[in-house]
Amino acid sequence: MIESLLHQILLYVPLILGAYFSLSLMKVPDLSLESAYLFGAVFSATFPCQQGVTPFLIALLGGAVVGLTSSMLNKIGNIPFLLAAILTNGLFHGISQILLGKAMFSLSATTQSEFFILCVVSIVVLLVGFFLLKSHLGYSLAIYGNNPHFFKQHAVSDRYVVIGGIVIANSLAGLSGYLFCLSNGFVDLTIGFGIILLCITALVLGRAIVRTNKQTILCPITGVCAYFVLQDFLVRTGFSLKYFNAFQALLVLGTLILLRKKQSQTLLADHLGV
Amino acid sequence: MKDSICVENVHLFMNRAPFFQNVRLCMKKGCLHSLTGKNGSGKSTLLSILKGDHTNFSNVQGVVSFAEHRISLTMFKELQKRIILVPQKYDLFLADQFSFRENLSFMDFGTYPSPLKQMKTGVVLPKVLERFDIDIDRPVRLLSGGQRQILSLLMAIQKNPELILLDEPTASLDPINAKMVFEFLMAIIDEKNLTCLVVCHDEELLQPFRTGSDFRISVLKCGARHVE
Repeated sequence: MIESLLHQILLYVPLILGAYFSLSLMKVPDLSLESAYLFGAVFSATFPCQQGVTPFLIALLGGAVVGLTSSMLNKIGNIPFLLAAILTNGLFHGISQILLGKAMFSLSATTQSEFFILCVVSIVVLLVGFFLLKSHLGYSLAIYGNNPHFFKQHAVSDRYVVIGGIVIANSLAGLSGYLFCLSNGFVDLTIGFGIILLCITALVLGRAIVRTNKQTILCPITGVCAYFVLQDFLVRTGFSLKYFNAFQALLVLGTLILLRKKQSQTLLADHLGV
Repeated sequence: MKDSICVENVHLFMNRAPFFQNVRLCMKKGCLHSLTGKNGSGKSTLLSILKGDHTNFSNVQGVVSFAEHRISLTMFKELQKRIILVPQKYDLFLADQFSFRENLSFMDFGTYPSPLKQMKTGVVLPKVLERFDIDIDRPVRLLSGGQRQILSLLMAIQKNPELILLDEPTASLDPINAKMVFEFLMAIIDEKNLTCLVVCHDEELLQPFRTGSDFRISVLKCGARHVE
């Protein structure tokens, strides 16, 4: 029972960490996470070489291409981020359809234990995330969410910070998409739908539990754990998962209202709320 | 002149009409100089040009002389290394969810912040700061306006500029905080031998602190700006 719960958590660790970078730290409405999740999986699954770590790197690359597109549309094309992300979603959903050629694509089975792969990938991702958050770039992502004008005043390239942050976030989403498909044994075009709500719910839960304004890896980890523990609990109590999306929306709403009421010095309401 | 920073032959045209014509400012190093004039006379425009921000202007001409080095006003990157502007809205300069100490350490960032370089928070603070009783580990948004202005000045100084431009640094502050900011500015000028050019409308506040020239900017009948 615990292993299946842990298995689910590990599948989503890279995605929630990526969402933490773009949604929580940078405060950017990064809907392109959905297409990055799909395209990472599709690009990797259809790539000719499936040896060793190649599919994982290709999934990261697929996500990065999506992130690069949406952030460049925003920073170089001067298109508002939300619109850029929606356009990117449409574009990469179409490209994924062309790459797959059909609605579903089976993946070849791995020789390694799937749980072992998930553990290794999650540890590597969390270690990289931990050090990235302590780095100049990691702090820059949080500064961008706090004051986007900061970089222009200090002759730091905000284009680099935004594109870098969104590329990293979407790469992680791409990797997560591939892990999910690896676990299912197939890729289909609907896997990305609605995952943004999962990200927001997990991040709001993480933020409500950890209660800090500092950037810390504890926020996404706690959030994703709380999300799946709650889901598991609801399933066990007989709750039908078809109502889970509505439940998630209500949960986010309730948590945000509670947080705003209890707003303290350590927890600021912000324009994205996650 | 070796002990001065001189801005010479500044020419700027706006809508084909002359805006600045042969403007010249010569500032003695290690002093606080002021630039005064009516609203709309072009003080902020002159500061933007000196900082190397020509976003809204074309055909800017002029030279800034730092002892032996003469830098054209069109060499933006060279200017940005030597001259820094603290804007009127000083909050644009700060990341207010972080502490005073963290904000200072952000000045280590290069143009492209590295994902491999780890953040160091052990910033050496100037001795004069002890006099101003600032909690450097508090988030900046919880500090007073004067303390935030002091932080923005310190952040500017961290980059070791040769000339600091301050655009109405006390415009949004009460008289006590405004005086505190100028006291800090004088202390830091003495400690680091800095050269400052301040735009300020409050002559009464400015007068006791000014150790250098007072440049007055006026609008001529033809629309061009004249500095004396």
